[in-house]
Amino acid sequence: MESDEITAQALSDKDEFGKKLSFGDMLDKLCVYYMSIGVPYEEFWYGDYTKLKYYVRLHNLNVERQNEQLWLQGMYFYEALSVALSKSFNKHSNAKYPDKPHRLTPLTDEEKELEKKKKIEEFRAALDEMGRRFEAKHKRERELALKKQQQDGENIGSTESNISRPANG
Amino acid sequence: MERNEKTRIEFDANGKHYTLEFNASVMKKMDRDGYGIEKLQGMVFTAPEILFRYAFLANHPTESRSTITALFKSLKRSAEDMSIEYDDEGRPVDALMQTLGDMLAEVAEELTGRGEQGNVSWKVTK
Repeated sequence: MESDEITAQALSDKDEFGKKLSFGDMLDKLCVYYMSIGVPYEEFWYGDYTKLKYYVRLHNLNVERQNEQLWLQGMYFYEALSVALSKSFNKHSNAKYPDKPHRLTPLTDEEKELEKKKKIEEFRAALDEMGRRFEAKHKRERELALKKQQQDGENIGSTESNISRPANG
Repeated sequence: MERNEKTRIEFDANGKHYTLEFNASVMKKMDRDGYGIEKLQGMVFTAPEILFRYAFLANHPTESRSTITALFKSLKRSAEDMSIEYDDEGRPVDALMQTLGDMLAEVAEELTGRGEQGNVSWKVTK
């Protein structure tokens, strides 16, 4: 059974003033409680009482689900507020509200496979990019080295010509 | 073990099939008529017949009191698939009365949510 305050009060054999109820009055109180969680009136009074626990379990599940939704709403609100605050205090902030809702249900096998493929492709693209950058860096370094070599060569040439030139005087 | 079916007493008599059971409505009527659970506990000798009479209300509300009394007297005190149990003083336990009492307690337990059971077993030692 649920342990929240409303349920505890509904299942107690006392009224709101703490006075002990007769079983008949308690049944009236219980009827209202069970009707509040979806049990039809006829079902409560004339139906199979062993089924009542399933209504209670369903109700508990719904309460949990509602609680989870409220928590999720709080999380979205927190994210939105964080993005807004981050942007208002920092012009260069790259904070961004999520493009799509957070996934709540588990991925299907197909989706898992797609996700895996996507990650592999991303990894490959990152490797390619790293290779390109590496190439570009080395190309630049090679060019610089070559340029330096040429400059050094030119410098040596001019020094040599200066040495071979006879001094006027 | 979890209870998924209500306890009933079934028998055939006078060419009719009877199913005796309690529900919230019958329990409320008993309470309104002055037969609350606490009061019944104090009525050791008359309680069985009273419980038996009210157990007809759920499925056989039009059955006359004289027929019910006759049926009550004609029933064996133990069900056909039950072995006779004896109390501490060696007297046979009235299984019919015990079952009616259990049926009544079952409704109260299920309605108040106290019938939910755990899974830890226990035993009595003397």
